Amino acid sequence: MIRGAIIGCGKVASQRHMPCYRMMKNVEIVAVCDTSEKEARAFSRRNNIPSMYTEINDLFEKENLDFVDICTTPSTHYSICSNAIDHGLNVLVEKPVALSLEETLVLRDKSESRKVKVCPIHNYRFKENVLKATQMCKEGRVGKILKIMSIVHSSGPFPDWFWNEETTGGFLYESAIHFIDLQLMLCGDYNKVICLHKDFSEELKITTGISALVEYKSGTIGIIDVNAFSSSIYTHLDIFGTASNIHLKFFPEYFSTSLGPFTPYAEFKSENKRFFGYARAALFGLKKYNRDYHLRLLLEFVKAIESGHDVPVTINSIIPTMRLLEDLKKKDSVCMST
Amino acid sequence: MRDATSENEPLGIRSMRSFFKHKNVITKDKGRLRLFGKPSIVFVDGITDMDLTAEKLLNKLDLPQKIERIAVKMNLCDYRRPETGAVSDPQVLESLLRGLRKKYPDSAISIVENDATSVSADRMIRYLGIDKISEKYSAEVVNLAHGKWITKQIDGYFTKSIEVPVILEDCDLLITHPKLKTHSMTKITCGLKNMFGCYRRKQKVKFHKFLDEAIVDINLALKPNVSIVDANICMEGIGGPCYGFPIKLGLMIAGKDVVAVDAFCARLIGFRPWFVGHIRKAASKDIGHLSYELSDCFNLGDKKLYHFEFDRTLYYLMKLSRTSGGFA
Repeated sequence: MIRGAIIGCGKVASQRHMPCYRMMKNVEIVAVCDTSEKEARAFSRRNNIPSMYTEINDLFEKENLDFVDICTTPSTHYSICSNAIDHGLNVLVEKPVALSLEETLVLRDKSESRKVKVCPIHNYRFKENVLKATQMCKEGRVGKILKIMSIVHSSGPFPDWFWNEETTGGFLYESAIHFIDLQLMLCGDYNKVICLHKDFSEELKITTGISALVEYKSGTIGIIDVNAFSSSIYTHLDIFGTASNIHLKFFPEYFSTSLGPFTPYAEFKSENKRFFGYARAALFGLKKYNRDYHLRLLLEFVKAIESGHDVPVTINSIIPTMRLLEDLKKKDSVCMST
Repeated sequence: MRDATSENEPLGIRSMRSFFKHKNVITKDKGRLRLFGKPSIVFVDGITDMDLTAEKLLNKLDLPQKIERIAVKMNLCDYRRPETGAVSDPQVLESLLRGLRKKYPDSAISIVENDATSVSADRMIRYLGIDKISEKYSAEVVNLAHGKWITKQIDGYFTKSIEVPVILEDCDLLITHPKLKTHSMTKITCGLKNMFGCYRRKQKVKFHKFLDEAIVDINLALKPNVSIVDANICMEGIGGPCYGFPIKLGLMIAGKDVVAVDAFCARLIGFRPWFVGHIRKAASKDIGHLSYELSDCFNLGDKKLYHFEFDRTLYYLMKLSRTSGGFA
C-alpha cells in the first residue's frame, strides 16, 4: 500500500484529488496538512483520514510517507516541494511547480540528487481529447505541424489569491499554463518569442491579456491568445498540420479533425458528439469529467512510485513551458516594426 | 466525342446500361470480361530498404532486357507535402529511378506529370525537389501540358477519340506510379486513376460527372505496361484524392496488369474491386484482369489492419448531392 499525505485542503484537494484517491485501492491517504486547523479537521473528518497537521515539518517528521500531494496556493509550491524533497519524499505538486524557471531548475537538480520523483500536475495532458490529439500527432496523421493556436478566453470567478500577480503569477500561471504547456508538448522546445502584446491593468496591477507569436525549433509557429476578462469562455486549441488539422475545445471536451472543405455534415457530426458530451456532463455531473483526467495522471504517478519508472510528467519535460511562461511574463510588448 | 447513348442520362442509369451492355459482350464474345481467366500476377513487398525493394520489384516484373524510352507517370494532384500521402513521395520516386537506371543504364527515362485543375505540374515538381532527383539519375522531367499531343481513336465509354501526349505514345515502357489513396468519388485511386491526369484539358474536374468512364477511356488510349504503387505512406478518409489522413502501410505493389494491381489494392484497403466502378469497367474493356494472383508475396499478416477508413454514409450522401444537386 502506497502511503500519501495531502497538503492544502482547499477545492482542488477535496473536489479533484481526493475522489481519485478514493478510487485507487493501492493508495492510502494517511494525513492531511493545512495552515487552517479548521479546514484540515473538516477535510480529515469528511474523508476519514486518521491524522491532521497544521505544520508541514510535523507532517514530514511524524508520518511514514511514500509521497505528498501539494494542493496549496501557487506561491507556496516551491518551498513546500523543496522541503518535501529534503525529507526524501516523492512529490505530486499542482501547477505551477514554481513561479520562475530558476526555482524549477533548483527543484529538478534537488530531486535528481535526492533520487526522489517530482510530478507537476499538468493534468490537461491527460484529457481525453488531448490524448487523442497526441496520439494522432505521434502517428503522423497530422503530418508536420505548421501552426498551433491556443485561445484561452476566460472570465471569473477568480480566487482571492489570484489578484496578487507578484505571488501567484496571475492568469498566465494559473490558466494559460495548461494551453502553453500543450503547445510545447506537441511541438517541442521553442526558439524565440517573435512578437508579444500585453494588456496590463494599471488599476488592478495585473496582466489581463497576452497575445504572442512563438517560433518553435521544429519550425512550427505558435499563436497564444490569453485573455482574463472576456465576454465569453472560449478555450480552443487548434493544430494545423500539412496532412490534417485537429480542433480541441474544452469545457466540455471536444475533438474534431478537418481536411479539405469543412462540410456541414462533418461539422454536424463533430458538434453532435460535443452535444452528447455536454448532455452527459449535465446528467452525470461535471465531477466525473474533472476526475477522469486527474485520475489518469494520479494512477500513472502511483504506478511510477511502485515500479521505479519515470513519473507521467517530469520536471525536465516542463522546463520549456516554464521558460516560455517567464519570457511572456517578463518581456514587455515587442513588435517587429513600428 | 461523347457516347450519344449515354448523353442526358443520370449516372446511375448509364452505369446500369453499360453493365448490361457488357453482360451482352460476355455472351457474345466469350471471355472478354475475363473474370475467371488466368489471373494476373501481382507482386507485393514490404519496405525495409526502399532502394532494395524497388530494385527487387523491378527484377520480379520480368521486363525486357533492353528498353529505349521509359516514362514514369507521377501522382501530383495538389499542392501537398509528401508526408500527407496525397502526392508522389520523392524518396520512393528516387528509389524507383535508381532501380530503373541500374537496370537500364542507357535508356531515356522521363518523369512525367500534367497540369491539373488546381495544380501546375512545374511548380509541384520544383516544390518537391523532383527536378533535382531526376537530374541525379539523368532522367528528364516533363510537364505533359507543354509537350506535343496527338489524337487517337478508341472504343471508349465516354469518347471515341482522345488526345494523348506523344511522349507517352512513343515510349516503350509506360509506368504508372500512383499513391494508394481513397477517393471521394471513385472509392480508391491507384494505377488506373493516376492515368486520368493524362487528359489534355487542365480543368479535369469537368470530367467528374463521368469519372469512371473517363478513367477507363484514358487507360484504353494509354495502357500502362507496368503499375508500381507507392503504398508506403497512403491516404485514407473521405476527402481524397487531395485531403485525407496519412496511413503508413509500408508496402510497394507492382504488376504488369494495371487492373489486377488496382483490384488487389482495392481489396487490400477494404473495397470489393467489382464495386469500384472504374476497375470493373476497365476489366470489361479488356484493359486487364480483375482476378489476380500474389506471387512470392511479402507476409501481410492480418489483412484487416490494412483496411482504410472510409465514411460510406458520407460517400453516398456526397454521391446523392452530386447526382441531384449537380455538384461536380
